Amino acid sequence: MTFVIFVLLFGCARGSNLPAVELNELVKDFRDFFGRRRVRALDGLSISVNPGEVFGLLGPNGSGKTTAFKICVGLLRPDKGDATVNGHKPGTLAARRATGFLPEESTLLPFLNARETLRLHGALAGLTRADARKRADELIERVGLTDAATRRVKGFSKGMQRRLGIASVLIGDPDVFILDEPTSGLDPLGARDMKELIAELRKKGKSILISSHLLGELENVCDRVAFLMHGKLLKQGTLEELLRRHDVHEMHFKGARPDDVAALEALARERGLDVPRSAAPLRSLEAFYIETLGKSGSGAGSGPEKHN
Amino acid sequence: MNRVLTITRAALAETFRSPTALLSALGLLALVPVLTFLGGQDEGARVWLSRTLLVEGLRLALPLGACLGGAWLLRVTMKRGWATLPARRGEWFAGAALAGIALMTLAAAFLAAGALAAATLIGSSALAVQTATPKVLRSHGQRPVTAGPGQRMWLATKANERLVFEFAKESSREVEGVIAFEMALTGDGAPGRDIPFTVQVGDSLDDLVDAPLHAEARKRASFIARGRAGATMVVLTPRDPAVLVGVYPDSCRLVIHREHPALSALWLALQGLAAGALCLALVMFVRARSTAPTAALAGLLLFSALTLLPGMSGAGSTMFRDKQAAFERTQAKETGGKKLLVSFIAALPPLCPAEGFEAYIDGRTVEGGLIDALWRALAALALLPLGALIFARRQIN
Repeated sequence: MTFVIFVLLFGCARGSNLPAVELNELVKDFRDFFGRRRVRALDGLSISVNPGEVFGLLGPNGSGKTTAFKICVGLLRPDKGDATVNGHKPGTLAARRATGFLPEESTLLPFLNARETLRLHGALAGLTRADARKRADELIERVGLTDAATRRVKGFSKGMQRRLGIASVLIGDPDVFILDEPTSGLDPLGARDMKELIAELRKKGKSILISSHLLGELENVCDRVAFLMHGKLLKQGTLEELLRRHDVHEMHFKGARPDDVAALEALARERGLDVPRSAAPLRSLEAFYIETLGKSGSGAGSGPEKHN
Repeated sequence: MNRVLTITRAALAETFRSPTALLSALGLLALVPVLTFLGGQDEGARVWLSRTLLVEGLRLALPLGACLGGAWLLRVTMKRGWATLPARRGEWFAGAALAGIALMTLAAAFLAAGALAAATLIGSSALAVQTATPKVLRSHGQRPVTAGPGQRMWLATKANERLVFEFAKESSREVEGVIAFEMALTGDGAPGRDIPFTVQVGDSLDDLVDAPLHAEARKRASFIARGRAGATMVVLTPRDPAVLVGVYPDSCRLVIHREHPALSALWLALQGLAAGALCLALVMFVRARSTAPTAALAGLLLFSALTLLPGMSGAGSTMFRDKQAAFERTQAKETGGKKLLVSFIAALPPLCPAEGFEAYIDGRTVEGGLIDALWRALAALALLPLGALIFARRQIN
């Protein structure tokens, strides 16, 4: 009895500790027709994404992000090293069921409408017809395509196709999301929605591996990030570890009058501190865009605004 | 299987909604009627055109369309489908193949419907049904020899030979029939006539009348003997010393009654579809591992190999061998490698067996051919899972 309990506990503990995605010393070369190496896309890449974590893969174009993702979903096989998704080898049925993949380029069928596209993906994910229909309607609303539900995908803007793409990934309710440049082609409101969606998925305990070469996109959503260059891992860690500066301190005061600011600056100088910059902060252009267009009620951005 | 059918349905919906779908369907439907009325100068030409267009559409255009469509169909469908999880890539491959076969079936149906409509409009809505194989006697002087089943006999003018086809008495209609024949050159000059023999009809060898002959197609002639209702004997006599006439026992057939061409068109469509499916399967099989142009090229090679080579072999070396064997009574003097190549080419199965298609052009009913079609369909079915397997293993960058 004790042994059985031990095995159950051990098994559960082991199962829950399995990384959502694990890449171990991956090497991938692309070769020409004669088998000669053309380019080394991945050069010993190792990362591990924990369950419920949002992991960002950062790097310039050609750094190997998409190659790593394609290995995770079984579209490419590594030359060396191995990868697992939820403990399963990529490409196996178990791994595919556990994974939702949003490729960088749209792979939607152009002459189906949004609702049909989601029903198709629902059917492929194993949902019953009724469930697929219900879930498709929910997701169309969730990604803000209600007005375009019966329009053919061919007439969609890139941003709308991106929203539909993410909805098609969501319909199967996978545990692991692999999102390749998910905000590519989205306007700032769409990008903000995408970030909210990622935060929502994280709250539900989903694991997310996400890539972008726009650093600001990932800053607010990732728990950890890794930097890639020429297929090699340069650095990885939490945002706190990577971004915290220890030589500067920043304080924000609300309702400070000019004489208060002058007094504070004088106090700082009295204490021997250097004050290189002291000014009312500017909002970011993105925040201003969202505030302006969100208030005018256009587009899908009507959610809460984020301010520092 | 459910996922495969789901993918097939989506691929079909995708095709039907493309801007060219309706235009293509209407084009296929109107192709034969329009070309028949534009190109046919008289009634005979229009009848011939309406039959020929259907035949060439099914045995040439359909497999060619399968070669090109298979190469790019897979590209369009698969490129959009490979990233969809958890569907397997093999399932996308199978779904795309099924959609391709369904589209070919629709194309064949539209083409055949147009051809049948054209036939009805020009008043040629019937094909001739002919008798079973007759008893055949080879008469050389006073010594008649009965031909065995499937045995080809060569007749030489110089040898004073003739063939006697004996039919059971079928009806009291006037005797109307068709003779398919082959020719081999004897080397005694150039052939002088389209039809190197005469035909006589009667009830006995002593009571024969000449039947006028009409060349219906290359190596096919029809005859009709008016005033000899119910005659049971057809006698074929070669008359061109430059040519040996080759005839099988079932080469001569009498017309018994006429039937609507719809059933014949259906058999032809099935044969064309089987050939198209084989081309499609090969193209998709190659496409599973290579680019679309390479796959299309492979399909075109298969198409040309199985369409042109068997025919070229029949018209050239095989006929030469037959002539030698029949006339000079010697073995072929070909060298090993060449002989092997010629044998190989001669043994290649044609993509579409010519008999049924040529019979349709000649205005005869089409029978059988289903076994051939079945073999081709089975070959296609065998290639598709292999292609799916290869495609599933392919790395997609």
